[in-house]
Amino acid sequence: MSLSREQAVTAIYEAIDELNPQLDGISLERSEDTILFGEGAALDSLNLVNLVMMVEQNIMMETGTEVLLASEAAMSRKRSPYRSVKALADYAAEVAA
Amino acid sequence: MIGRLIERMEIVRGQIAVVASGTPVSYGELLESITDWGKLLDAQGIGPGDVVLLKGTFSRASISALIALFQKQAIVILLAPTSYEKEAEFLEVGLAQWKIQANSGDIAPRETTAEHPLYETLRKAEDPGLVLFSSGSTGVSKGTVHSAARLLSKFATPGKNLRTLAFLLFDHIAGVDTLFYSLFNQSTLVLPENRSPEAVCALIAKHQIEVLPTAPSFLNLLLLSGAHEAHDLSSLKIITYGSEMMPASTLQRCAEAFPNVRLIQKYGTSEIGAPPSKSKSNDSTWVKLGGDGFDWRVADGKLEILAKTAMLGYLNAPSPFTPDGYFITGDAVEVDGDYVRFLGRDSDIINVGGQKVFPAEVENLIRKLPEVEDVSVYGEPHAILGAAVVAKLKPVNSEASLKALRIAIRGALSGQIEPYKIPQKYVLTQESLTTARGKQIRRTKDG
Repeated sequence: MSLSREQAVTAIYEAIDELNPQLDGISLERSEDTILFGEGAALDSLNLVNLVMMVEQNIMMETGTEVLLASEAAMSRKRSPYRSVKALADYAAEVAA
Repeated sequence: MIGRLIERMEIVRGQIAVVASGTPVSYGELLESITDWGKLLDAQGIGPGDVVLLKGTFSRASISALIALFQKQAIVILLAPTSYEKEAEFLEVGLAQWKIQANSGDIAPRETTAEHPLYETLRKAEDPGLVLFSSGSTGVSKGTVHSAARLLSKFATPGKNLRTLAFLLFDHIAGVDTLFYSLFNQSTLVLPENRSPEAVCALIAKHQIEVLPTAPSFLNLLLLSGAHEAHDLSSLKIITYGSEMMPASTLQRCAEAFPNVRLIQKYGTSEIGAPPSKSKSNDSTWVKLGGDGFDWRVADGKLEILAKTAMLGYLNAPSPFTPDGYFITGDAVEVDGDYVRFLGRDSDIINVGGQKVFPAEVENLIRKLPEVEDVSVYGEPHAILGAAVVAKLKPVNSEASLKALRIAIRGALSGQIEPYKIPQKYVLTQESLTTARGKQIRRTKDG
């Protein structure tokens, strides 16, 4: 019942694959460097919520670990966990530990 | 009003009043049962103003006990099987002095004084009373106190004599309404033993039932089951539906499945009874309310109703009436001339990033998908947008993967409704998504 960083990245990539067809005219890359939210980012708040919830559920299905990626704590971090795929994977592995 | 009911029943002694467990009971036989119950009540000394909990489901015994209690000017609390687990609460909140088991005829006293201002009002007016419990948003049931004389007053206006199925529950305002409408109009009421789509369709065919009063979720189940195609339902003339939002998609499928049946939306609550209503058309969710002692208005987008059959008040909650007597329903409606359309209950509204989502609209679209048997949509607090829209799904195939369903639903809804209304989170369940009373279960998060 734990989550490796690798598993977190896989869960995010799967969510990206699922979300891409619904994005208007853009497509997120399967890369840790992909910017998700914030300046120069591809996603609006609604799609960020969609992505985050898909990632939470993918992690749950794959590893049985329940992680909460959207919380007051996450929102108030200096370095946003939603900035990039890398940041989100780091955050997921951190809160699941 | 009870005297008038007895008079009407006397006129048609030879006709069938109810069909119970497949056995026809004439109005004459029902009157005899009422007299027998009267003697039992006299023997116990149960009289005017006494508070009695009557436990049972629709049966010859329960119907005649209820009428006999009204004749004695008692105050009756009804308790039907789907609420049996609430018995202790109903006895306590209702201040019941007696408990009667309709089917066994057991009558047992309880130690209580039964003092309540609303009961005093009934006693002073020398009116029989009826107490119906409705679920409260906090989890504690609310007891609505009615004057039975007032509640039944609308039946002075003659209605139609149509053979009707007592589908709705004995301790529910709509069930009580069905019962007395049928008796006042000297009709035959068929009592079901089983409310499954198959059993209900078999009963309609066997007894040539003309009216089916029901709830949208049952109609949804019925169409899904295909039971309506396996039986001859040509006797059906009217289907009424109420007690929850009717999804436009379900209504559309119903109108197609029953082209020769009138589909009428009813709007009733435990607090005000059931005002007359008329649907704009078979496949329309627009409905005309009121007339004959009922009036309505809209304040802040919410429906308010003035009803001659309104309750006196709650036993255990503040008055939900405006100073000029209108009942604040909490139901958001759209208005078009004389017609209203229900958008959902106030409390069901999900606010996603400042934009309102009514679960019924989303449920309605998701329910159309072939993969989905039923769905319940509710809000969950979410750190990013304030609230997230959650869809709890009961899939047709119990092995279905959450991910496949999620993709199918997102794909289907995309372009049909605003993106913020498309659920962000999906949960699978194999359990029923409606309560025993046919109401949609929302706000039940996992676990």
